[in-house]
Amino acid sequence: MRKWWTLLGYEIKYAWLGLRRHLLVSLSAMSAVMVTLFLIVAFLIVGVSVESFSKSVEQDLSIHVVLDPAIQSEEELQSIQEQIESLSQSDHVVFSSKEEELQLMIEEKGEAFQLYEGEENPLGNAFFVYAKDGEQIQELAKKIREIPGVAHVAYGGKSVTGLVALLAKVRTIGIVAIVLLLILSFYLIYNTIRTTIYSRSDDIIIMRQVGAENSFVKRPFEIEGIMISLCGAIIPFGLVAYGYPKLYESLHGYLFARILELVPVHTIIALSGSALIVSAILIGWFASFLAVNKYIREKR
Amino acid sequence: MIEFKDVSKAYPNGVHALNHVNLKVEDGEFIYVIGATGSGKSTMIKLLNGEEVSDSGQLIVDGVDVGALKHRKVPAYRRNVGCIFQDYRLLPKLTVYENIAFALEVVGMRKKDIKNRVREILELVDLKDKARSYPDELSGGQQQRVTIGRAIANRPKILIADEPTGNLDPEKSLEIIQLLEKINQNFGTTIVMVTHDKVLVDEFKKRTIILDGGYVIHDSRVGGYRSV
Repeated sequence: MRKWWTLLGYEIKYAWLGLRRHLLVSLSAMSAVMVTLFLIVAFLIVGVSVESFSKSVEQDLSIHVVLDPAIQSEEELQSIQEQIESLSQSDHVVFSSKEEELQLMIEEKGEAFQLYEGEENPLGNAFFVYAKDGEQIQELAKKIREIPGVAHVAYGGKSVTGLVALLAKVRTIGIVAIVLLLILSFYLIYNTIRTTIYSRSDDIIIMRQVGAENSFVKRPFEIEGIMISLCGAIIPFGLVAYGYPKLYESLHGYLFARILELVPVHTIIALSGSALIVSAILIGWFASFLAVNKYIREKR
Repeated sequence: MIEFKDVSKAYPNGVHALNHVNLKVEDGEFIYVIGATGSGKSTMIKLLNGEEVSDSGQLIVDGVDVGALKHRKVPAYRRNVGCIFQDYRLLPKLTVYENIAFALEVVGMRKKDIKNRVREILELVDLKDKARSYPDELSGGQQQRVTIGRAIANRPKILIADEPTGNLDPEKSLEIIQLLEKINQNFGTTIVMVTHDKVLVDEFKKRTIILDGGYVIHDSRVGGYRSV
């Protein structure tokens, strides 16, 4: 156990020495890592935001179901509500009495409608129906319209379903882009680290010649790879930690419309921080693991 | 003890570097291996340090069948077989001290013990004042002494020297051979030295093996070029 610790100490020392004494190569590797990790985290933020946009848009998608003003009894209302709830696309139903409907109308169209308050209220009772999935809203509206007693059905129309579909598409593109970038960055980091190791392939042979076991040769390079990519992750993280709160502030937390709410700052920072650390460690380690293995096997 | 038992080695390009070599070197011996370029000297060294594997026959070093060693076991074997090269093969980004210490770190020796051992070695190879220098700041003779220091750091039983004086002037060559003799006598280290240097072979007479075309054509206990 003691020997293991002693060896690890030396391995870390050599990783650090390698980094310091090949500073130029290390810096070029770091910048390659930096650029790709920045792209990854940028796409991640876009992806997470789109995800949150489409969630809030979908949540906000409700169908306004206005009933015939003649329908007043509890039993009739109950029966219509049950019929709507039994539809497979409906998620939940909220009742809105004709008094509440009038209040909404006054809010929307002006105080002139206050005239109708009380017994004069000509409006019917209504329901707000929420769909399970934004893309099913059209079909749900059609089915509700067929229920007897329903006078009128309204929802955002095709533009809303179009937005939902668009957001879904952007989300898919984001995921694909992240995966492609991960592969690209791995390849880039692998190549850079392989170049730095290639410039020291003679050293690897000498180390083995002097009696260094493969693990003792490999580990410093692996630690160095992790150090390089972690250093490369610092600047993208700094940009996110500094830039995103500024962006959030300047947009007052919304993108164009209230419905497109930006993801909170602390969520983005925590998410991108952990994504950067994990991907830097994994990519840095695996790339150098592959590269050093290639050279260690070259000579007996 | 080193024992070549009917060892042959050919390279993929068809060159037969060693042919049916039989040779025994006892513990504590100091021998020269001489021969023209292409006679198989380098191959003999490569077999001894585990870099190459013979096609047939067996090479036993201190009880270890070198050819049968797995790739990952070779470094551990080399701790017992120090190696000195014509081109020194020092780690260029490490100082003299660090180069010697490296050989001790790989075996997991503690820092304090390493410090003492490196000091001992630097004294032996007379490089105490160069501990903090980098290899490219040293002369050829000094670099070779660092290589020797590194090779003996782990107190190996056997030392293999591949033309250690090949790049040095006669005066520096003399220093190196004297240092090797000292190691041989003081620590009982077996030394196999491949060389071209006729003057040295004649002056410091030792058992001399002559290789020609991959065959051992002479094994003289008297030593010196004239004896063969």
